[in-house]
Parts: sequence; structure tokens; C-alpha cells
Amino acid sequence: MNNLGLLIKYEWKKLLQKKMVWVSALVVVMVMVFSNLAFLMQSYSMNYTDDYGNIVEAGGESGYERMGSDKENAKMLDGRAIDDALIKKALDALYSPDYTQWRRYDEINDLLWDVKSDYRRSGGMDEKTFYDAWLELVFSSMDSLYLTEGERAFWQKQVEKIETPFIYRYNLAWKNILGNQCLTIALLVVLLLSICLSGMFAEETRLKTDQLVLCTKNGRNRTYYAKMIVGVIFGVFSALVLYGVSFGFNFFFYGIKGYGSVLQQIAAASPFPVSVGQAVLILFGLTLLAAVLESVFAMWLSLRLDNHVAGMAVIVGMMFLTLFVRLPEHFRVLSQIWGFFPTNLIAVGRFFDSRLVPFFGKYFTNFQFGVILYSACIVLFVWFGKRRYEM
Amino acid sequence: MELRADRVTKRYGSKIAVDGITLNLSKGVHGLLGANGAGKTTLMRMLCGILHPTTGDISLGSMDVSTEEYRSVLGYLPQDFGYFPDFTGMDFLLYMGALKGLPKSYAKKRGRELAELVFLKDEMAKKIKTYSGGMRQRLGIAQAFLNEPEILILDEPTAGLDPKERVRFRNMIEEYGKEHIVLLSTHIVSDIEHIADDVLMIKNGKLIFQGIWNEEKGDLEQFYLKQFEEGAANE
Repeated sequence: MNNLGLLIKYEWKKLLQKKMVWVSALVVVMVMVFSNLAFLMQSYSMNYTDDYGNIVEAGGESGYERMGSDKENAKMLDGRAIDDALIKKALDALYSPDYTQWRRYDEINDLLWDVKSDYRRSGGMDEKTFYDAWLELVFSSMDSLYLTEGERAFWQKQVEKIETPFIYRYNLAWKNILGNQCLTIALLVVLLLSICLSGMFAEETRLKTDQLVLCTKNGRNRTYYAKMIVGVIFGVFSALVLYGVSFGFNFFFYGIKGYGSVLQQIAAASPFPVSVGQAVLILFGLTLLAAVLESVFAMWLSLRLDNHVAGMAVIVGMMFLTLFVRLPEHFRVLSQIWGFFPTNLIAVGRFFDSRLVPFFGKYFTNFQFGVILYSACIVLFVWFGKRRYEM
Repeated sequence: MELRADRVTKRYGSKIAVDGITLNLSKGVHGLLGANGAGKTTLMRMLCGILHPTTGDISLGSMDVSTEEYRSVLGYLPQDFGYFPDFTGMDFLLYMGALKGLPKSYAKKRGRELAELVFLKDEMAKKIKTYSGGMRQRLGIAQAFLNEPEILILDEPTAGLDPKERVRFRNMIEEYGKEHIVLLSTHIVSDIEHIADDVLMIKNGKLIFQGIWNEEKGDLEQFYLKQFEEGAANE
């Protein structure tokens, strides 16, 4: 009998009986909950100088009130084209002495600022200058990324798919998930998996149970796969739980609306012709795949180093290194490779990265190639691990 | 069928732990004697397929040591081994049963029989972390017998057992050796004198004696001690 199902059951038992696994999972979920509720503990006010030179404080709001006014203002703008009329209203509001008027068009003014930060000084803005500036922003960012002519031609076609004028959509939940949550989840998953899975094989050596396991019929082949399957399910489940917390809180507070809003509404310089909801789903899918990769990597390290703490240190060290060290874009290949580390790829900022990967005569975006690369790495780490385990 | 080890060597860098040992073990109890660090455990770990020999071959009939087939007829009790502290005694035996490829129902039935045999029947629902050293050793003995192995390799099996348990377990091994191949390593020479059909003595990784020990050859313990005194004098 191969007993794979039974072996998987016992591997689950071993993993879940560790206090460290429960404690770290609880801490990570609490961090996620806190990051979704932190806004309630904030308060918002604004100081400005009136015509007589007096400093005036306006708009004292609690976090909860601020959420309410954000929702109200965004709903008021929902469905309106970002055209001459709306841009004019937003600009008028900016110069209005009424604080509530500024706030009402905050979302539009933020977008105008993202596209052309000096728009207030350069004689205002209208629909034509806004969309011209937007196109200039998209393509000038490609200069700084050292794109080839072929890549530019690829993006030219993609950008043409983005309909203008943009239609403003209420999308606060999706915006918050994309802007604030995806990277947090990616980091928390790495942290959790490094703690829980780096001991998957090494703990057997520490507990001296390895010699009992290795001399049994199923102790080599099936035990290896049972451990790998349990680790991968744990990794994917962790990512799902954290996304579940994030989706739950954001949809509860802001509602589900806005899946189809244009990505450029919150990431103006991005050339990707996708909606905000699609962007969230892309990062969600990549997080699940990265969770599989991180799980098999952590278990491979566990085998290779035969030490729980050493494996954990390598993963956490890599996480901080890739998070804080940025390679300049003029090292085109190196910096692009650097961008494929999970904590670099799973971030809203990657939607600004228009560098492509030529592969078998086709161009792939970073996200598309990330799927190919992560899948290949998963297969390699499982294979290397198998060889190591059989030694 | 015979368990054959053909010129088996294990090197760690420049250190030779086991040096060209050749063995043919048939049914019966084979006592393995040797000082600490002589290479007994390394040899047994190779016979169990845990360590790969640097050179040489190990097989049972046509089954190579690296095959599942070989491991499925093997029972091993390591000298110093660990447990999953939060498993109950029965969980541990069922897990070992799953590892040994036994059907769950059979592993359960056999686990209960063995628990009774090693006097752990009433302790099987308790977590292993609550067991005493002797209870853990008895649980280890039970797992080694779980699959009714053709080859039973026991490394210091009576360590931690009280004298009464030791004698009882010694008899159990003797009985089992009538139909199976048992390799027993211990420092307790009298245990080997009592139950071993033949004696293997290992020193500095080399087999220095293999054969039947009888009264005509004198006292085994004296011979054993002499070998190590000579070793110490030469060093």
C-alpha cells in the first residue's frame, strides 16, 4: 500500500501540533486585521492660510467619518467622464475657500497631479492637455526603463486599447486592496512560510525521527511528496486566508463596486489596459503561485541546510534585501531579474514597469513571464529536493 | 534468504567509519559487539538503507538495500531516536504503519497486539511526551516489530529497560530469531552469550571476529575486553 493519503494526514498533524505554527499564523492574521482597521484610529484635519494670513484648521474628521466622506464624494463622481467639464469643476474646487468643495474633487485633483504635477502653476488644465500629458507620462516612463523599439511598439498597441476619456468609477475597496494590501499580504505570506515550513525536514533530524522514517517502505518517495503536498497546501491556504481577511474588510466597509474601473484612475503612468479589479486578480493569482514557490523553496532549504533557523534566516534575509535594495534601471537585465522576486513582483508598482521579456518570439509582460518563471522554479525546487532527500 | 554485505565501506572525508566489511547473515540472532565509535551504528544504518555505502553492496536475496521492496521487510530500532512528542502512542504506531505500507486496519490490530506485548496497552491513548524513558524504548521496540520484518536490526534495544523487562525482551528476540534474521548490537555481552547464534566483533571499522562462540573458546566477555585493551595499548 502506498498510504499517501494517510501520510499526508500525519504530516498535517505534525505541522499543526507545533505551537510555533499556531502562534505565528495568529500573529500574521492579527497584523492583517489591524492593517485593515488602522484607518479607524486616525483623525484628519487640514491647515490653510486665509486671505488675511490667518492659519485656519479645517475638516476635523475621525477615521470613520473620513471613510464616510470619501465614499460619499467618490459616489458623487461615479460614472462621470474625466472631461473638460469635470476637470474644470475639480480645478474650481481647488481654489474654493470651502474645504468640503476641495474634498469633493480630491480624487480627480489627485489624478491631475499624478499626470502633471505642475498643473496648478502651468495655467491649469483641460481635457486635451490632461490626456496629452497622460500619454507623455506613460511613454516618458518607458525612456527611463530603457525599452527597445519592439517593446515600445508593443505598448503603443496596448495603450490604444485604453479608452479615453476615462470614466471615473467608485472603486474604493479595489483601490485599497491594490494599493495597500497586496504587497502586505505577499510579505506576510513569506514571513509565515519561512517560520512554519523551514523546519519541515530539518525538524525530523533535530528530533532524531529521520532514521525511523528513512528506513521504511514509504519513508523516501511518498513521505517526500506528502511533506511537499502539505507544505504547498499550507502556503496556498495562508495566502487565501490573508486575502479573505482583506477582501472581507474592504468589501464590508466600501462595498464591492468598481471592479471594472480603469487602472489608470489610480495608477496613471501604467500602460496596462486592465481594470483595477483585474489588476487585483492578477496580483492575487501571482500571490497564490508565489506561495507555492515559497513553500517548496522553504522546504528545499530545510533539506539543504538541515536547520530550521538557518532556512528561516535565508528567506527573511532575502525578503528584506529584495524589498529595500533597488537595482538601477540602467542595469537593464539585472534590475529586471531583481523585479521577479515575489516581494518585488507582487506590488502595484509593477504595473508601472513596462519592460517585457522576449520568449520564443513573443513578448511577455513581467506578470506573464512571472507565471512561467515561478512554475519552472517550483518544478526545479521539487526535483532538487527529491534528489537531496534520496541521498 | 541471506542478508549479504559485500566489501562495504563508509568514508567521511579521510575518516573510514566502516572498512570493507563482508557479511552473510541467515536466519538467527547475530550479536554485534564493538566499542563506542567502532562503526557498529554506521554499519547498521547502511544495512537499513539510511546511509549509502561509499563502496560495496548490500542485498537480501535479489533485493538491493535501496529498494522499497527491501525496506518493506525491514524493522529497525535505532540506538538514539526521537518521537513526535504530541502524538499518542497509538498515533505513533499507526504513523509507523503508514510509513511501512501497512493497511490502516492491520496496523491498528497489530499495534494493539504489540502494545499488549510491551506492556503499554493502557498507555496508548497518552501523548508520548508524558512517557518515561523505558516506556519510550518499549514503544520503539513495538514499532520495529510492527510489519513482522524479515530482517530486524536492533541497536542497543535494552537501554533504559529495567532488568525484568530486559530479560523478557531478550527472550522475545530469541524467539523471533528462530524464523527471521536478527542483528543485535549491545554492550551487554551476557545478552549476546544467552541468545546469539553467532557473534560479530567490530573494531576500528573492521570485522575482527565472526563465528559461533562456544564454551570451548572461553569467556566471551574476557575476549571482548581483551580486544579493546589491545586496541587501547596500540593507540
